[in-house]
Amino acid sequence: MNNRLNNLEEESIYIIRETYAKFKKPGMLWSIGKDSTVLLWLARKAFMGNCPMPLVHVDTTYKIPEMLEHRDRLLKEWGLKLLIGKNDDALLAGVGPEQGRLECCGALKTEAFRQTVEKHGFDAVLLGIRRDEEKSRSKERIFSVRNPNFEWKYKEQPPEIWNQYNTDFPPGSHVRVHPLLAWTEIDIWEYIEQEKIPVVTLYFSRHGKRYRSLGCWPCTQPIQSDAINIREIIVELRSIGKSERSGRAQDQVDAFAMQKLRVKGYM
Amino acid sequence: MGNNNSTTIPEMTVVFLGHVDHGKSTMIGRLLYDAQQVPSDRIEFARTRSAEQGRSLEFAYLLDGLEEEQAQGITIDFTQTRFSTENRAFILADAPGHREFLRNMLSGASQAEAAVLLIDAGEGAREQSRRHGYLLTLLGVKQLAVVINKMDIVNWNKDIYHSIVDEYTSFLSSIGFVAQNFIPAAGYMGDNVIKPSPQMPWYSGPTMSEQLELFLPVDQHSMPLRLPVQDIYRFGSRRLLGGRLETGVIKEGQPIVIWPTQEKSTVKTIERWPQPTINTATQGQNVALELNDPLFSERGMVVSSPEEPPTVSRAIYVRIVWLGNQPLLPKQRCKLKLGFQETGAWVEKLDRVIDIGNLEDAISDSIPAGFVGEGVIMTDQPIVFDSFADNPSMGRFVLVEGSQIAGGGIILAPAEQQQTESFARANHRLIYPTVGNITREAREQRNHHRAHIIWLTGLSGAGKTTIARKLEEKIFQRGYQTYVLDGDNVRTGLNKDLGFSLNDRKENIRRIAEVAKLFTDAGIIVITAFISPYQEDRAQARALFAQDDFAEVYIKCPLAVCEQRDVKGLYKKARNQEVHQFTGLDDIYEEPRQPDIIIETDKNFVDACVDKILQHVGLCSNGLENS
Repeated sequence: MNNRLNNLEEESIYIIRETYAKFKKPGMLWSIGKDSTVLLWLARKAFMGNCPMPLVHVDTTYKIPEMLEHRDRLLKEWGLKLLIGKNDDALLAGVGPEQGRLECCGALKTEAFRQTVEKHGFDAVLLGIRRDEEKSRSKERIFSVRNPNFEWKYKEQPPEIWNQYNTDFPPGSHVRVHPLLAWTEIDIWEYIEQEKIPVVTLYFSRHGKRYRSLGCWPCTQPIQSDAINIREIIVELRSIGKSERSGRAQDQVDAFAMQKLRVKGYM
Repeated sequence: MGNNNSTTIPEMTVVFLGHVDHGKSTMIGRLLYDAQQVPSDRIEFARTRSAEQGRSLEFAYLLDGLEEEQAQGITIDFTQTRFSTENRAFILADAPGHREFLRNMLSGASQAEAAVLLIDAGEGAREQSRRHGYLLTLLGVKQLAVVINKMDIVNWNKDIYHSIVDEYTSFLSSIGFVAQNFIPAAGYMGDNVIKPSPQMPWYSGPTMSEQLELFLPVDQHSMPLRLPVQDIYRFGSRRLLGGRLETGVIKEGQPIVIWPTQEKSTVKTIERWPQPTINTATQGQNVALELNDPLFSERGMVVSSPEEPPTVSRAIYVRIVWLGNQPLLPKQRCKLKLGFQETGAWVEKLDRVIDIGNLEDAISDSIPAGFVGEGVIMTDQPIVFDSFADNPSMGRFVLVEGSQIAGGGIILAPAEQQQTESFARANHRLIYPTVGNITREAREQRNHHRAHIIWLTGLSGAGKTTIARKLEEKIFQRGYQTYVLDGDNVRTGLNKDLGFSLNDRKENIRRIAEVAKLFTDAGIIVITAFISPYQEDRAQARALFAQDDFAEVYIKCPLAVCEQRDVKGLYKKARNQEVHQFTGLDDIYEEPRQPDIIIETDKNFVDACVDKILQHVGLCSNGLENS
């Protein structure tokens, strides 16, 4: 067994258990992608095969159909509870990527997520983001407070010293918990392989292309790849010269697009 | 992207520290760039951003991810990045150098096992160079390399390099720290980063990347079992104790004690998923335990083995670094978190406030942000802990002010004295006696030295008390447990029923020997300072101890010299018949026949006498330290 993966797994389980112990109503965001599916698997490990926290899926209505099929299959097989969040007003008003990518993300993802958190009264939400994904995510804390306006005050983050996290917070705010912050893309794939975790087949090559990162279909482009299984994906990632989110259109809008999205509450 | 990390040495976190703008991010960026471990689109991004500002490639932009960081050319918050050499894998943590971002620096550094501290060759050591160096000792980071960076701007001058090295070396030694290596480098130019610098042929030590390979993970030898209870999980009628092993090993069937209630049980099963149960769990593993007895348990309790108990106390002697917006005042209430324990706490007594930017004691009755304080903290509830020196993960805590972590600290020792003073009126017991049969060996192991008795004998005025006190001081300063038994503390209490008749004198020595034996059982180096004139009594005392434990020290001084000294005026009283049966005058002193050491106090200075004793009992050659 891989020493690094063991350490990452133990650290993540520790964080997931800490969230469950310290918060009244924690939830877990599940985008059906590889990272949040690993997060879900780790939660089952933390609680002896159960996931005692509800899962939240933000539905933008632009998700690739195969992802939804995969979601419903695992829900049944693993006996999970899922809450679906949607920004109905924005959808009715016809918000979509053609109005501007950042505006679309803001309305259909961030605002839908905010409404869901508010509606169900979550005081903590577990998310599968990683430091190596993108520059502003590399600055995140493991327990990261969002104020009542859902904003991330990245210049005023309290310290996380040793394994002590900030689990107290002012009323109205909620805490984002990031158990996978220290994982890399390759770690995720090696862990999926080691644990035999089922993932959406969109990640594997078809006709010379595969998805490296999954999001909404209008803004997610597959990459050139012949990797048809996990082993080949890992080999490919070791030699590839591009960052993971290079196929995600909203990141490319300007140099600090993701930082700007995330300050306003984006995942 | 990282290489295959199929190495035998586990991945290690190394933090990069130092004063603002001394080149931390640039050094890491250059390491990654030279090792070709940055994705090409990230290099393109950094190149474009650099060009927009009229610069060639800024290596720091490979790391500093926030817009403000790049615009201002500083690191605000720490970031971590993976780096690998042919043989090793690392996580490099880039910490900010501004004083106002100290909390971010600590967040980054608290994960690290080793540190690289950068000093600008043009500027020399500055305030944060020293502050960061000091904080490493508080974080328990013991491996350090110092890079004298930007050597290009001082024309690769060897003398400038050496003067900075000398200055910082003496700073480090003043805080009891030694750097593994000093490296002259130019991060931006790539000199001594991965490739040796052609500009500095006078330097033959490791490059930055070679130095990383010299850092080795801390060897976690067998530590006592500590399983802090994180949560209780209920499955039907079963109750499982969830938690991660901070240190040690736990086995199915083994006896355990839960603290602070000290209830005992045995481990029924150790559970993980998907495998149903495992026989043994080791340090770092998250487990769920089922016990054989339904004892009371809740988050915050600590499971230990019966043989190696933790300490429980409401008063602790601590060293704190404060990060709050307002200074921490004595008696100000805040929350202390240690492991999963949370309790109200306050600083009861502040002994020192240290400005770690210049290492001077600050004249202050509170701890300002970025300063370190030493003193006593009292807690509402007893806390379960070990001293930081014994078990770092059980000896460190954070202080929470309002809803934010605003300080971190380490426990130097329990502060029992303090709690009895402050809580004398309270009837409840504040220190819980340790349970079970704690052996002398276990105590010695914890103390990191052997117990011993140093029996001083000699005439009144020969210098026993002086030497005993000096011995005690020197041994104590080494961090060892020691205590002096002499007439002042024995005759006035334990033996106040005894006079100076022959029988009483014999009984006096017998009791002293027995008490000394209890002290050695307690793991302490005990020094006795009594005339103990009779050979038979000394032989009886010696018989109570193992040969290796007992050293008879003859404090030899001619009677005439002793009488001339007559520190207590006793010889004069004896000559005037005010005192009777006085040893040396009207009672005999039987010279030791085969003392372990003879100290002639009329011929040597006190320090030389003391050193000779220390040497004999092995305290100079580390003989009393556990092997």
